[in-house]
Amino acid sequence: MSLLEVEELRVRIRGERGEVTIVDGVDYTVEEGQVFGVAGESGSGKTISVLALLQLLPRGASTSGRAIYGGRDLLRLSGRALRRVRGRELAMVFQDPLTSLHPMLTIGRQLSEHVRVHEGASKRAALARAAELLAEVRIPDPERALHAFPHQFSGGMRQRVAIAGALATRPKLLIADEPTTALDVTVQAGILRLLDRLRRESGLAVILITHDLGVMSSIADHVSIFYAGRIVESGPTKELLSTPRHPYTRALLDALPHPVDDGRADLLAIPGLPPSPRSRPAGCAFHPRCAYAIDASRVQAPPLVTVGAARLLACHVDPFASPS
Amino acid sequence: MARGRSLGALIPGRSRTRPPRPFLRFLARRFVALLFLGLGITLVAFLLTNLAPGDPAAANLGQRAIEDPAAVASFRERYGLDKSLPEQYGIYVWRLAHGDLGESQQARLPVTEELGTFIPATAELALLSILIAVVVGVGLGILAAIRQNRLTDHVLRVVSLTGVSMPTFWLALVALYIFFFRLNWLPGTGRLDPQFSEPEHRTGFFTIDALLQGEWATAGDAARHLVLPALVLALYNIGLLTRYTRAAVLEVVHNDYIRAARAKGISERRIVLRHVLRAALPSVLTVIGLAFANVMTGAVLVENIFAWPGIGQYAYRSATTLDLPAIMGVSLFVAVVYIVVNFAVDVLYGVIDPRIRVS
Repeated sequence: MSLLEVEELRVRIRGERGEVTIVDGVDYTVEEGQVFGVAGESGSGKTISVLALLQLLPRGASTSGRAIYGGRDLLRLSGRALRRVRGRELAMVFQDPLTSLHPMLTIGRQLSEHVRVHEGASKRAALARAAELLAEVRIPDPERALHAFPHQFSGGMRQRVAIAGALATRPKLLIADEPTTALDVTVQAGILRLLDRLRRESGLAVILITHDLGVMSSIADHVSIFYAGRIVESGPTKELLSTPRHPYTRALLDALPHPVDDGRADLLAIPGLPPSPRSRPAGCAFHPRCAYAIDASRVQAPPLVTVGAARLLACHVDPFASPS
Repeated sequence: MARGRSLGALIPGRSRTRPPRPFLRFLARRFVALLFLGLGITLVAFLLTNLAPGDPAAANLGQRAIEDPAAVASFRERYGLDKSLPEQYGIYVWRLAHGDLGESQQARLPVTEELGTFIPATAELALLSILIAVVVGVGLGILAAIRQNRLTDHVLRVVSLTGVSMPTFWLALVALYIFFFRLNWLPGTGRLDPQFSEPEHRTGFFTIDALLQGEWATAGDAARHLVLPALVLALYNIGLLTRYTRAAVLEVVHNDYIRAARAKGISERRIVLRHVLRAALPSVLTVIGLAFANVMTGAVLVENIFAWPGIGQYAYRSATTLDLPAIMGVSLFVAVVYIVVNFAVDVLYGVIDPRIRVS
């Protein structure tokens, strides 16, 4: 059995101008020890789809579908059962380390409070664990750092502190929402190595959200590409990035600068803008920006179907199908 | 990344070399500013009281004495009113530095002595009133915020708006009419019923003094006398604190770190009390500082209506009789309260928010 099975996840948010569908029927599974990558442009529903798993959506949002974890549907938990899963089984790291730590509470407090709540550990034991975790995420002088406040650390250190906090209860699944986006490249590499090590050493599964395909290729086992609230393509990272099948995936890759290319090849920007959730086009949501769109694309949304071993694709045309 | 720097250098007060402690320096700077502020206040108070139209001699001497130039002259000489203004100010500051606020023209008693008897009465009333306002106002503010846009929130909005828009004197009269005159649940005026004798003064707070001496009945009566004026005085501040606490809490709850706390499985109750309130505290503290100012202003009206023998009544009496030394004494006392409260608020900001301590 998979660690997490998400089926037909839909999220609607009631706003001032009526209800909009942010996530429009998403299915995926995450295995133990797997780094499951989620990529896509801003506004494609990546973040909302994982916030839904922990019921952390803003007020006015409604969810449907299922997210089975340990035989229970995460979307229907409440009260004590929900709090037990939050933090203890599924932990989350947010995008901006500058805002995801409480500015007026000590690091020690923020790393130990939930350990005490979940495991009934003594203050001393919880702080000792916190110091170990800080050492594990390579924060120098952990004992002293326990008494420090977030503003005394740099962005990269804060993000590692946040990761230490998420890992303090030894969760089975870590949801990392753009954990390295706000950081510079060297720090980013350190954090990715840390996640990779934890995955290998303790079988931690990670849902890694990023719009950076470079980050994705270096750590994710499996990638799902989000577009306009749906998964348009998914598959094993190497395969998917080397032979993309969906025109959108292909366009994303073409838009990446190549590090050894000296700028002679033009970067190919994707024409147009990603659609706002308020006005998604009928049919395949990508068709107004797609050079390969056919009549069917404008009428009917393509279903996500298996196209070879472990690969899924939602495209009527499939212009890059390997000749077989 | 700060790899090369040791973390110790980043933590105030913990590094080995101990540079001048930022927090102590912050306190010292504030303190010096206070002294200058105090001096400035004496000048302003002095000028305002002396430039106000009206003749103290006319206000304090009887009808006969005013017509007698010798009596007027001796009155002026006695209170130094025959000297020039700068001279008068110089004498005033000199005496003030020696703890002498002059003699009140009405009672012919040292102003310090009079303040000493009136301040504790006001302090007892004002502190209780602020305590009520903080507990109720902050509580309702939190409640309104977590029930945002629901019925509780709307009801509390009306309640707090009523609180801030109702004139205190009118409230005082209505409260007296209903709870004293109509229902007779609570005593109407004064600090004690006549059958009780004042407890021996230690703190000057009748409730506490009576308790210290084991006079339970007296303590109970003193407490009953406090209820109406303290509540009337608190109502405005309750409204104010409810509104500001609600706004401060709402500003905090949408922060990432609150969502992060929720993602860690910490209970909602704990999140509100330990995480949200902590971050909202600086804004709430500012309003609590304002509450002290409101109570000082409100006391003048409330003490007069409830015949409460405090600073407010003293101020009113001194103002209507143009008793300059007494007016100056009251102004100075009020100014000192403002200064001390502001200083305390500033220091508490630093205690609450570690980021202020370093900058």
